[in-house]
Amino acid sequence: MRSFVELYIATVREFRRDISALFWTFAFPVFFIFIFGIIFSGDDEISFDIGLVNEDGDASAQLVEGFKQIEVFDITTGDLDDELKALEDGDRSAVIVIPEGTGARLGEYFTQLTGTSEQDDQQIPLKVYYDPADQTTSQVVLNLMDKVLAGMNENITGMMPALVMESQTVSADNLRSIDYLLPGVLAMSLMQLGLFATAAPLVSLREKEVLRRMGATPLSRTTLLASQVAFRLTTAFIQAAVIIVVGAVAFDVQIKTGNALSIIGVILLGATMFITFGYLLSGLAKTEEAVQGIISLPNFIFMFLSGIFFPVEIMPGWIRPLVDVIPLTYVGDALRQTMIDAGSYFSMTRSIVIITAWLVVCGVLAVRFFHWEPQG
Amino acid sequence: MPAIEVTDLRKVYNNVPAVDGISFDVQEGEVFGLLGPNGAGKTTTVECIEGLREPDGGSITVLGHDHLNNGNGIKQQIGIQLQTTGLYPLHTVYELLKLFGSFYRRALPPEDLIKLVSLEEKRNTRSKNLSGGQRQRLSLALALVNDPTLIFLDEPTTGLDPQSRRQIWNIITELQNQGKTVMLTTHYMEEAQSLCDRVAVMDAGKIIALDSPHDLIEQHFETTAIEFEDRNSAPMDVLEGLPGVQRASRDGGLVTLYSLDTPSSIEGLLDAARADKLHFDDLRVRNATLEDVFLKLTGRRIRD
Repeated sequence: MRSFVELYIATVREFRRDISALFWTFAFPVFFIFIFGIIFSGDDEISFDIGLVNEDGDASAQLVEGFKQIEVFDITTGDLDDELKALEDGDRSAVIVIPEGTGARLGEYFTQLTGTSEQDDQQIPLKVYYDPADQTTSQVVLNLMDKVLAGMNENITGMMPALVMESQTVSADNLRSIDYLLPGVLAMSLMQLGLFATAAPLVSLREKEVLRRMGATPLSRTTLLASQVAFRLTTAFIQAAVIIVVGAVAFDVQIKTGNALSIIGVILLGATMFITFGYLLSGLAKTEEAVQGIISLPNFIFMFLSGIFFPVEIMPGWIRPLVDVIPLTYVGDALRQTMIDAGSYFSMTRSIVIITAWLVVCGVLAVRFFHWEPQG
Repeated sequence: MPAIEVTDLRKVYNNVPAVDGISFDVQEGEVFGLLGPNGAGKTTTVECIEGLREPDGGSITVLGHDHLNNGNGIKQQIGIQLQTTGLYPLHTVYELLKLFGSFYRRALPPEDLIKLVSLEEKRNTRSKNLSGGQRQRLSLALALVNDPTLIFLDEPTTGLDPQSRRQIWNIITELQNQGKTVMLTTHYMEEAQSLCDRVAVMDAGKIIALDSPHDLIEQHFETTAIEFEDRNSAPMDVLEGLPGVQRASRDGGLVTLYSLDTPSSIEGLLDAARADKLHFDDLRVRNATLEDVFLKLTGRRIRD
C-alpha cells in the first residue's frame, strides 16, 4: 500500500512538472471551448451579400421589398456598373437585375390570372450575375434564388404548396452550439488523456528502462499499473471539472446537475476505456517516435468522424458505418445525453454496451501486447 | 554457504547461445568480477542470477534460495544496478531514493544513502540534470536502498571520466569493508584487477579462466611485458628469438614481448635495432595484466 501511494504521488509529481503534458491535458480543451464558444456565440445564420439593380423603378419596388425580406440575403441596391464592379471585387456573391418593364408585366400577368382570359405563357426574365470561379457560393446562391423565385411565383399565382420544408437543426429545442459542443470537448479530452497522457508517456517509460528498473525491485507489477491507472482516472475527473466550470462560467452552459451520478458514471467508463486503449497502443508501438504516429491516427479519425463537434447527419451516408463503431461517438453521445438537455442519436443502453465492448476488447489485447522491456 | 551458486547456466537468443553452460560460485563477502568484451554474455549472466531473465538451462541458487521459486523474496535481499538505469527524469535525487525505498519492507533513510555516494549537493537536483558520474552514483545508491547483503553492479563505470570512476571504486571498496558481497561486470581490466577478489574471464558465453587477478597473471605469465610500436613489422621469429623472450604477440603495430629476463631482452632488442633487424618506437616495460591474460587466451584484446 505504501508503494502504491508513493508511486501515485510520483506519477502526479512527474506530470505536474511536465509543462507540455499539463498544456495538452488542461489548457488545450479550454482553448477548444473558447474557440468554439467565440465562433458560435454570435449570429448562427449564414448570409450572402447580394447586389440588386432595379432598372424598373417604382413599378418593381414591391419586388425589391420581397427580396429584402429573405433572411439569408443581405441586399444592397445600386446601379448595374457599380454592382458588377463590386461583384468583381468579391464584395457581392451575386447581382440580380430586375429589367425595365418587369412591374408592368407582372401586373399584366396578375390580371390574366384573375381573369378568365387565356394565359400568356411568356415568362419574365430576371438576370443573375455571378462569379463562376467561386463555385460553392454561386451554386448555393443560384439554388437559393431558384427557391426564392419559386416561392414568389407561388405567392403571385396564389397556389399553396402541398409540402413545406421547415429547416431544422439538431439543436431544435433552442440549444446553442456551445451547449452541443461542451460534452464533445469533454469526450475529446478523455480520449486525448488515453492517447497523449497514457500511450505516449508509457512508451517513454518503457523505452528509457524506467519500467525495467522498477521491475528489478520487489514492487509488484499490479501495484505499478494500478497506481498509473488511478492517477489517470483522477486526471480525467479534474479535466471534466475544469471543462464544466469553464463552460458554465464563460458561456453559461447549463449542466443537468440532477444527473451528476450518471455523468460521473459515463466519465468513469469512457476514461477507463480510453486509458485501456492507450495501453494497447503503447504495446503496439516499438519506439517513442512510432507511438506519436500510432496515436495521431485515431486522434484525428475519432475527432472528426465521431460527431462530437458536428451532427452525424451531415456526414455522407457511406461514412456512417465507420461513425457507428468509433467509441468516441458513443462517449460524446452519452455525455451529451446526460450533461445537457439535448436529444441523442443512440440509446444510453447501446452507448454503454458499445463502450464496454471496446473496453473489454482493448483490455484483452493490451494485456497480450504489453511489454516491460524496451522494444526499440 | 556461497552467496551465489551457478551450475551449467545456459541462455539462448535466436538459436545463438549467449551463455553457454557456465558454472561458478561467489563467496559471501567477496567482490567477484565478470570480465570480458562486449557481447561475451556478462549482462545475460547477471540478469539471469537477478531473476530478470529466465535461463534456458542450469540452476542458480542465490543466498541459499532457488531463485526461480522465490523471486520476490530474493529481491528484498539483493541490490541491483542495471547497465542502464531508467529514472523518472523530473524527480530529484532525494525523491527517487524515497520512492524506491517504499518498494522494500526495510529501507535506509535517503540522507544516509546520499552521504554514502557523496551527492549531498545534488540532493534536490532532478535526475535529468545530473552528470553521467552523478547519475551513476545515484543509481548505485538506489541499488543500496534496501541495505542488501548481495549487490549486483552491471558495468558500474562504463563511459565515466577517470575521476568519477575513482569515486565509484571507492564506494565499492567501502561496501566490501562493510562485509557485503558484490558481483560486478566490467570490460575494464584495471577495474577487475584493482577491485575484485576473484575474476571470471568470459568470452563468447563461456568462462575461460577463473581465479584471483594475481593468480591468473601468475598462472599465465612468470614474465614482464615489453611493449613497443614496430614500424617495419619485424618477423615473429626474430621477435621470439630475442634473449629471455618466452612469447611474443602482435596486435596491429603494437608488439608485446613476454620476457623472463627483462635486461637481456632489452639488450637483445637494442642489438637487433642497431643491426637494422627491427625499428621500434615508444618502448615501455610493465608487469603483465589481465589484459595480457585475455590476449593470451583468446588472441584478442578485450576492447576490440
